Amino acid sequence: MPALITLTLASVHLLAGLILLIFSAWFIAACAIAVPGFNYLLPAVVVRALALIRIAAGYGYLYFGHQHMLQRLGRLRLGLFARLQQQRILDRAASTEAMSDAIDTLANAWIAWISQLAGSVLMLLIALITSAFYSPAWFGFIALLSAMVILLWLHHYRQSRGIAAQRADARSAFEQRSERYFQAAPLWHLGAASFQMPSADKVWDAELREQHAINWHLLLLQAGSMALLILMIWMQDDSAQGHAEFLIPVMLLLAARDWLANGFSANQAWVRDQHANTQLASLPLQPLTRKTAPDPVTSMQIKELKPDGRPVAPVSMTLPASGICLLRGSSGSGKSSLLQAIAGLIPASGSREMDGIPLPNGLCDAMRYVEQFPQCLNGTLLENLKVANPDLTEPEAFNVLHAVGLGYLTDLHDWLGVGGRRLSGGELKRLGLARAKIADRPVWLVDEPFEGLDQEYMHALCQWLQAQAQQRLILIASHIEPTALRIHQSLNLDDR
Amino acid sequence: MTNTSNNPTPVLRDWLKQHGRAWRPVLLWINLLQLLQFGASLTMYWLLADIVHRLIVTDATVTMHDLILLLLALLTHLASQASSQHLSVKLQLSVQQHISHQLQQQFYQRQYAMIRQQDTRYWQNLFIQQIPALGRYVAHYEPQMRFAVVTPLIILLIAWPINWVVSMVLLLCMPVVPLFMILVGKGAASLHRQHFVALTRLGSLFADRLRAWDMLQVFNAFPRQSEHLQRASQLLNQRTLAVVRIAFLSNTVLDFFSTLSVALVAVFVGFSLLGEIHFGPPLTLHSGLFLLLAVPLVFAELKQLGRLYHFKAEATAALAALQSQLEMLNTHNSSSEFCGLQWHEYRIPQPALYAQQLTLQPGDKVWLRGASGAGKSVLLEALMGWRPASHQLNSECAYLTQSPLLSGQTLRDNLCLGEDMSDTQLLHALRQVELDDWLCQLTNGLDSQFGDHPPLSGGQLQRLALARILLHPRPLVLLDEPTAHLTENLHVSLCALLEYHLRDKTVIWASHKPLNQAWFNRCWDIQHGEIEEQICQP
Repeated sequence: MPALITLTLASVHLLAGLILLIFSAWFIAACAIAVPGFNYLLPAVVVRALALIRIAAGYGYLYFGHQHMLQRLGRLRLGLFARLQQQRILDRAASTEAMSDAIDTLANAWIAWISQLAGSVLMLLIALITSAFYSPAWFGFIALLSAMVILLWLHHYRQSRGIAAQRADARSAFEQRSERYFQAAPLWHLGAASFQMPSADKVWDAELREQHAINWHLLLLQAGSMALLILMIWMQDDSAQGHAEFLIPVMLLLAARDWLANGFSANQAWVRDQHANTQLASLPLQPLTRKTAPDPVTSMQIKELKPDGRPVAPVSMTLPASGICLLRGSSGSGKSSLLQAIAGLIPASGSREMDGIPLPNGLCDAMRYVEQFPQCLNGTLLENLKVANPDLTEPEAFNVLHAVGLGYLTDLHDWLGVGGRRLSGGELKRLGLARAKIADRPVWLVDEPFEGLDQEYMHALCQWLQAQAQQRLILIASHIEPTALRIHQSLNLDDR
Repeated sequence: MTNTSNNPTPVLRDWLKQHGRAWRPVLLWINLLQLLQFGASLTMYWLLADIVHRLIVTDATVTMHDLILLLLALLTHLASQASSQHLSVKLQLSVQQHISHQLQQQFYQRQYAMIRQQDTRYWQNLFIQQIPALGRYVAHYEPQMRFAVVTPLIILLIAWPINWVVSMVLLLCMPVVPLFMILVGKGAASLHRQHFVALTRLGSLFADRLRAWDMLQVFNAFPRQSEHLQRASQLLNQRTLAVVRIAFLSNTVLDFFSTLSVALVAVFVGFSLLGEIHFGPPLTLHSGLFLLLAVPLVFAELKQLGRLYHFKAEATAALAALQSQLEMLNTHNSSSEFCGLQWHEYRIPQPALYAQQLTLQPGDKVWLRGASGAGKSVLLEALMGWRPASHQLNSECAYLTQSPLLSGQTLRDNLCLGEDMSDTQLLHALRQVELDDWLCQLTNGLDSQFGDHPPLSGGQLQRLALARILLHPRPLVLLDEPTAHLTENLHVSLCALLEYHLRDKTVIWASHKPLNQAWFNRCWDIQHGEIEEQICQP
């Protein structure tokens, strides 16, 4: 329904503008040749009424069109959210941006092209039908104009698709090559010759050609419609005298560029729309299932576990029900990916067993994985903690914050992230641990908790982890081995 | 989406003044061609109105001559339009290339010190979004802005002799339009400010949750987050609509005047022709129709400017991002042998670091100490010439950090970095850093391709980086925490290797991990923004 309103208002806006121009021209001509008794008051009223209708429809279209767009945006976002629930997003930085852009494009569809294209087509139809009833001579010209416009639209549509495909290719080529270039930045000074910034010219070129295509088609449309107009005047026998309505096809052809131009920008938006759809359909996703496990875990066994696609040796270990275990290793030893494989976040070969029962692939509810760089959501502090448990009460939240050394954050409704307080790296690590504590599961998998911490806090953290490990298994991956930590069992990944 | 802020942005204008000298002639040509096009369309209207007048009112026939004139006007119109658009497109490309060139110069000068500040995505987006935004602004918005100011005046001048009443009314209307637009813009801007915090917070929610997707998966937080998102999007819609409701009025004001002017001119001309009213010189269908066609042009270019308004908004944002990246540095030439330095009052402006005195002799071994975040990397980067500082080294340095790999390339490429080197050289270097056993495991030896997950651990990666430095010798070697992410054992063994191979070089080694103090003869301690020189006692 809101879509229909948008479409109707857009068409009325366009139509009222054109009719106003035609009717005004006719009115002037009629006045110039008026015979006595010509009722000039009614047309004068109509002219003003048309003007008001156009203005109102214009505003209404903007308002309702955007309202509809915003509603669509909300719906599409929720839809994507639901679709991704069983998926893990790979290449997150690029994918997130692509998804946001694609959803924005799709939400814009009705404003950007559907109502534009529909309005232009509707006007063509009206012009064709009225002229068919009124005069066969006019009909001929309008039909020629229609045929020409449709051919131009089709041609432009095809061309736009081609350019869009080239643009996408150019863009991904640029992204790949520039990524390599930027990642090598620390080496530029050693071999200036081999590092050249890849040129973005091809991406820009495609963009400029998009613009160029619209310009040229508009130019052709204008040339064609004016040629038709000149032809019509040329073929005009002298029957026009005293016929003010002769101005109707004249104005229609003269203004053709104005009322048909939208079709081309609509084409471009339509092609973008299709691209957005393909992008959403071909997101780099990895299916992710979730298994609920028996709550008190008594033992956990890992057999020949090896994350897919990484050049590391498989790992086997038997872990106790409680205590701290350490995966020791330098960066690049594969401890992070091993921890993620144990958590079930990334695909791996081998098996994981809990209390002797093999776990299927995917996440397991008994385990909570704490990332190396925990993410802070844009939201209140409480919201950031409630991620781990929606039923968290405020006093509980305070207790946990105190325990992890974030006790100085006293306002649970303080906004974090964009447009609010930014947490430092160390604070984020504590936030991650606070979430693990709140979720209160029997197994924690903690990635690099000690990096970048000062000695004093490191000591306090070890004490706290020690206390937590009384009732649960805490598996830590780290290249730092604090002396204060009593380690139950450890595995050195560097040695393999 | 909307022009919610009408505040003048002097930054963009200043930038154009500074950099736009070369583009000025082209901009002028674009404007001239636009004027030619405008003149041609006015001529077309005049001729057409004449033809229509004769056909309908006076029963004169249309001659070939009339049509040829009309055709000529049309061709001029089309040709000038095509050329001005062509010039715009070319200008846009050259503006973009100019900025891109400047940025690349910055890359060349500030290197890793600049690149590490942002992620790859950010740098790519500068080229894909920000630079084109500035290009569009210069090539399209800028000429349109001048054109839109001139066209109403031309119409007024032309309409005056035909009928001064119409001209008069337009003249009275004209200041009203910008006035209304400014008022509306101000209203919308203040509304936007009022909702700004809420709009940013709610607007960023969706992308933010996608970025934290793994974490939401781990905690199975979807039901709550979906609900949250739904509520947020409802709130966001309400607030956005509250702002745009006013912002759209600015658009409507223009629409109002341009539409109403057509209606009023039609009624005025019609009534004059009928003899119902008598103001100004008498009108004919010819002059009346011409006025009807010309009057909307008073607002047409302004409307077009409104359509391009988002170019300006995007360019302002782009300039904000780019300008900080385009501060020029002094170029320094690094060529000669290192022959020692003795600097007084050494200063780095941003972030501020100061040293009363810095001394470095060839062959010195300096241990650069300081807590993380004290500025060790900043000092090393300034010494490399990647940051502005009061003094610059005049010899070539090698810099070693947590060294990257050139993914998608071979081991050979990773070592040679574009220079020609023999297998013997490469193998020797790999043996020196004790990577020869590892090399034997690679199926293609030196030509093994490194994919996304290369078969190297962190320790091996650093050894490879050391091999690179041995192959590309520089008199000075700066080490920035090369062992930060290594376990204790690997730290010790890599340190021994570095000490051995860099024994003849001048070395500045930043580390907060304990090092073998006996190896160093100097210490630089950074504390509270100050670098203190100390002689190390072995």
